[in-house]
Amino acid sequence: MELLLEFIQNTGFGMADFRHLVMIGVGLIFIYLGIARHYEPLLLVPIGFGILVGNIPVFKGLGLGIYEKGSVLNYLYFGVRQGVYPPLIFLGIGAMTDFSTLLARPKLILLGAAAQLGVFMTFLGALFLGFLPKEAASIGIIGGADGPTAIFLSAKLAPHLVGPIAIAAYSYMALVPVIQPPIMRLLTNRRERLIRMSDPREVSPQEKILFPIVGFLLCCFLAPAALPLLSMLFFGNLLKECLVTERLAKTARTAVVDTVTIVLGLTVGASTQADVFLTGKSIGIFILGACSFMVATAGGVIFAKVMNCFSRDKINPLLGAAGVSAVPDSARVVQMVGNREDPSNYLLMHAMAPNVAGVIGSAIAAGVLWSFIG
Amino acid sequence: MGGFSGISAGNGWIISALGISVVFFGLASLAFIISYFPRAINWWNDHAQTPRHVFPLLGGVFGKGRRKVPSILGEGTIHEPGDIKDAEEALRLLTAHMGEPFKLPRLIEVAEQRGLVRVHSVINRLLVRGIIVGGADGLFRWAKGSENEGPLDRYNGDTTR
Repeated sequence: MELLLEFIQNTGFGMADFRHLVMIGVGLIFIYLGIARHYEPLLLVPIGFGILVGNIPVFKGLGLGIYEKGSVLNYLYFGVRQGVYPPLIFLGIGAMTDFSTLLARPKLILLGAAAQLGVFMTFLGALFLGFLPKEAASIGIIGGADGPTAIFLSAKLAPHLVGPIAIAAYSYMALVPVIQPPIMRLLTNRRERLIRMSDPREVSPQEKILFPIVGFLLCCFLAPAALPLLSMLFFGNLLKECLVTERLAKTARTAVVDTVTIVLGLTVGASTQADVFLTGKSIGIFILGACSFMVATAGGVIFAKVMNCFSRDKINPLLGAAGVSAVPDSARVVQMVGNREDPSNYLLMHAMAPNVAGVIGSAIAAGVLWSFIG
Repeated sequence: MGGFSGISAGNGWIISALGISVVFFGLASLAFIISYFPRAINWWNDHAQTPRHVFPLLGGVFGKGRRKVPSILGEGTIHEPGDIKDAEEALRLLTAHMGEPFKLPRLIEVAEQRGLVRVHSVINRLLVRGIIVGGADGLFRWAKGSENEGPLDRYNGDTTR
């Protein structure tokens, strides 16, 4: 009988406390949102299951937990801790992304820059709330709306916050369709939302090949700390556009990115062990994360309106919201909001330009923060 | 330490101002350079065709390959076999990547993307001569043994037009 009681005490049921249950609840919500609501399922399902994995109470010292040296999860977590996975994700993103709309209308790139306002305002907000500069920079990058970039920077500057920051970044990316539309509607009037964009010009294959090379050289000379992310992004795109490495491009955008997404999602989820995750700091991170998305959206929309004051060729200010780099969700939101006003106005293609510019912008912002604070 | 003193202590104002400036400068420069891509590519294409007028000193190097054709043919003729031979070789390289059998529309699309001219016409000639053959599955492949045949032999009697 004593043996049985001891066994029960040593099971997960015996060792669990309310914090584990809270986190398991969070994991289940992620899985539900991914499967039932189709909110970023490729990310939320692995992360959600990872949260379940990380919150099974286990013996310390048996080499089971993600933070215990020598455990399987710890080996997989190495790629997060050392910033290995985010550049590989960027490789896949590069191999998937068509920069044609950006090349056709270069001025829309500025909207991707304007949305990075969210990064730096949140950085200031985090410092205001008493976070250390390295922590504040890691929290600020949530405003870039780019999960891999957020993980990369926080792994470099504040490894103890990787879990909460990644969860906040991906949660808000999944909630882009909820967070952005009210801000977009608040900052624009109906007349502005009805603006139609002219068809973009045709982009030649030579331009598409030239872009990743020129873009890489320019951006990395300017912000060398962004090298791991931007080099892989542009390299992936060159593989895609040069047409002679189709096999490599296909592998990068399928097998590589899928494998890394699985491991990254699972380990980031597992890193949210209740005792590490449920702290006051995590709550602060979540509040700041929400603010950063709002500021980034507002920054893009307002900048688009400012551009309209100086430009003869008006742009639909809703496009500014796509400057946050949640690809392609924020572009879809622009299409959705614009479509509600005029069902025959197709903004998706145009919104992809600031959207992919936002990816480059947030990587540069991460590089800048790392070089200033790292 | 938090509040405004926390921001000042962490150099928050300076880092933010410089950070957003660097991001803007970087992306604005990129936008500026991209806007000149079409002009630069057109300029390159134009001058690569007539390099002797622009680069007198380098003209010999640039014009080497291009002068070869008229010197063989003389004035007023277009050398079909040379064109088709080159095009066939290029198409063989492409299909080596694509794998056999291949879809003709896909081959045409890829060939055009790679800058081959008169792709439809070239492929039509290869089909007529049985160098590319169609299968019952609707896909196409190179005729067996066609790669060993000398292209000039193949096009004998159709050297000029």
